[in-house]
Amino acid sequence: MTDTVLELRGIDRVYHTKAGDLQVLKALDLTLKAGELVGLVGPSGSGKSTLLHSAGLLERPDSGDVILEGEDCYIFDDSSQASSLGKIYDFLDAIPRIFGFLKLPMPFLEWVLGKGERRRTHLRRNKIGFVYQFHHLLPEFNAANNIAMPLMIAGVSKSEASAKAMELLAEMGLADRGSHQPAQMSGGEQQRVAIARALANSPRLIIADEPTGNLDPATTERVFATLIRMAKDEGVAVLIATHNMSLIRHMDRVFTLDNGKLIDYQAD
Amino acid sequence: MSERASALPFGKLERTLAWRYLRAKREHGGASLISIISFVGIFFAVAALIITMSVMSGFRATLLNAFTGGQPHIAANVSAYSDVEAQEIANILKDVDGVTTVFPIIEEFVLVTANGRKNGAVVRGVMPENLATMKFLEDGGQSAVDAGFGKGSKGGNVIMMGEYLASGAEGLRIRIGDAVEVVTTQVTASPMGGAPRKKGYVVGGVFQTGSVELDYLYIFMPMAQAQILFNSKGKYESLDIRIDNPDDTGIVMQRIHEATGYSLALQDWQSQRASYLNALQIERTMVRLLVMVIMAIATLNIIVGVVMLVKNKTRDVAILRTMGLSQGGVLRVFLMIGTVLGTLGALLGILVGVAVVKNIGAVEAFINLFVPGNVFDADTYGISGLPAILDWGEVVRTGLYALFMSMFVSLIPAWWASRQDPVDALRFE
Repeated sequence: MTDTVLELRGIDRVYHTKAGDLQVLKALDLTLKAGELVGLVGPSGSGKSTLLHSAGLLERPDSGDVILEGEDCYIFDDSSQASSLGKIYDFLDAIPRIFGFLKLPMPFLEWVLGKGERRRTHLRRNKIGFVYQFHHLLPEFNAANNIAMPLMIAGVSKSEASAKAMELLAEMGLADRGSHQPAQMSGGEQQRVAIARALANSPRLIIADEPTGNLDPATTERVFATLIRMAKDEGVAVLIATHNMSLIRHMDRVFTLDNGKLIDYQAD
Repeated sequence: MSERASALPFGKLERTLAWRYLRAKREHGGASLISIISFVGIFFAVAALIITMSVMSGFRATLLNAFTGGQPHIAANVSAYSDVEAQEIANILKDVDGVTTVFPIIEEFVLVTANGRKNGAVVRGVMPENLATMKFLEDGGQSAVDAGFGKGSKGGNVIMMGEYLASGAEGLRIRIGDAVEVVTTQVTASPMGGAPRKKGYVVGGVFQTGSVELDYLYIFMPMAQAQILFNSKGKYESLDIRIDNPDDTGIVMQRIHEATGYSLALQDWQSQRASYLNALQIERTMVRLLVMVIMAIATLNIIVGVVMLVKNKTRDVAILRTMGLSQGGVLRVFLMIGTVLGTLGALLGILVGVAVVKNIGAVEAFINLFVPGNVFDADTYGISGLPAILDWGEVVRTGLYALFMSMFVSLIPAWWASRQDPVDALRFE
């Protein structure tokens, strides 16, 4: 197992808006090692979420490489084969709708071109866990089932996934809340369930976007302690975007985004 | 940790997600009113298709039974032969494979009058012993024979007639035992000039073939009397040939031709009724097409229902995608939701449709409670009672069509759901 979990090289991301192009990430480089907690601070709109989405393989950068445990996540998309097919796809896509029958091969091309996306889905399923400011638990499922969900998506049996979920709930101090629906739990409890869910598939990388944004200080400390424990005990790399400056003392490194580039954060 | 594969397509996880979303409470963005409407729409369309096609099958079968019971399956013209020769031909035909009975008949158009009313009719001359072979005569014509049919000099003067000709609204309004006068199209010369041949008869019995049309038309007369009335002494007009399966007339006609050296002119009931049969077939096809279009429209509601569900669940789908649920997985979840909606509607429609068809008599009686008079009046519809025959093939085809349509229309919103970008949903949290 390589020590480097995530490597972002020369990442560019530009949003094309009516008001003009907005370059959010510019030749950005970042490396996360196993067991490392890296903080990302900065004002809203500075590009933190875009960086997290790029690191989490949810949003493809306009250029640059995203390498997860040594695997280039966009290698197929950038291959000459994909490039040729992509040009054909773009050509068909540009055909006016009135000649819609000419677009018939598009689903097949999408399937072929989707090979890279399928691989990234596979990587997310097995190597990445996400935690959001708003826990985003599935309201139809109880806490245990929410935690078991990533495992079941990965093909683990229901009984095995449930056992693992109960184990994680116990670690989070929520052993007696497994059968409770999200609506029956407090915000802090819901967020701890969300963290347990992110840890369920034993990820190599956890991406957390304002994970304590809605929590009181005591719960914030507790939630954060869990993330630190996961990093130090399990060797998980954690990338956290936060506005909570009191937490940055726990981080191994802290960056801020300045004009699309990462710079070391200097506390005032 | 070693890399795992993924949950099986249509496996427990995807089925669980689909089922939970289908049952989700409205406040969680669950099944919307439109989903319930689409379910009810498919239910009604499937039930309507099954009931309609079953009633049409029953209608067709009743009419065909009436046609095949009340008229020859195959008629062989023997007017060029003497009655003895015709009987010899009949004996040959009885041995042809598929033929059950053969007997001679005479048929002529007449005018029949009674009580100052008059109707056109067809007199069929039959031998009294052949009445027993006519399946629609409940007692094998015994009551008419008891009343004197075929008895007396030259066949006697007792005849039988269709019930509606005797007592229908447009009929003669007579009862058994009443006298009628039969006027033929043949003219008898006399010193006073030509006059139509006519003779008085007594109605000894009435019959119902199951077809009001035939029951308004036919009069049965003893053969000997018919030969005299129509000046056909020593001759028959044709042979009434009945066969095992009335749909197999083509094969049996070929066998008859081979047995008789192609010496007989044959005509089967299907060619006599070709326009009627074609009309029935066209009507059946058009009604099926119409109800299938209605069902297609009903299934289109599924698109709206699933689209609304997808919109309500956009964030959940995004989270599932971040957890590694594939685009195919999302597609299958929503495909199953739409398909289940359609399938449940179809299953309930099949249950209700079959129940209605199996109890069509009770349903007709129930409807009659609320409709003045008889809603399926025999005089109007040409059949007595509302017939229905359940065709299980039709039921299976209807169910499969509903299933196919539900899957097909669900593909559109399911595809759309699978193409949703999780980043868009999460960016605007």
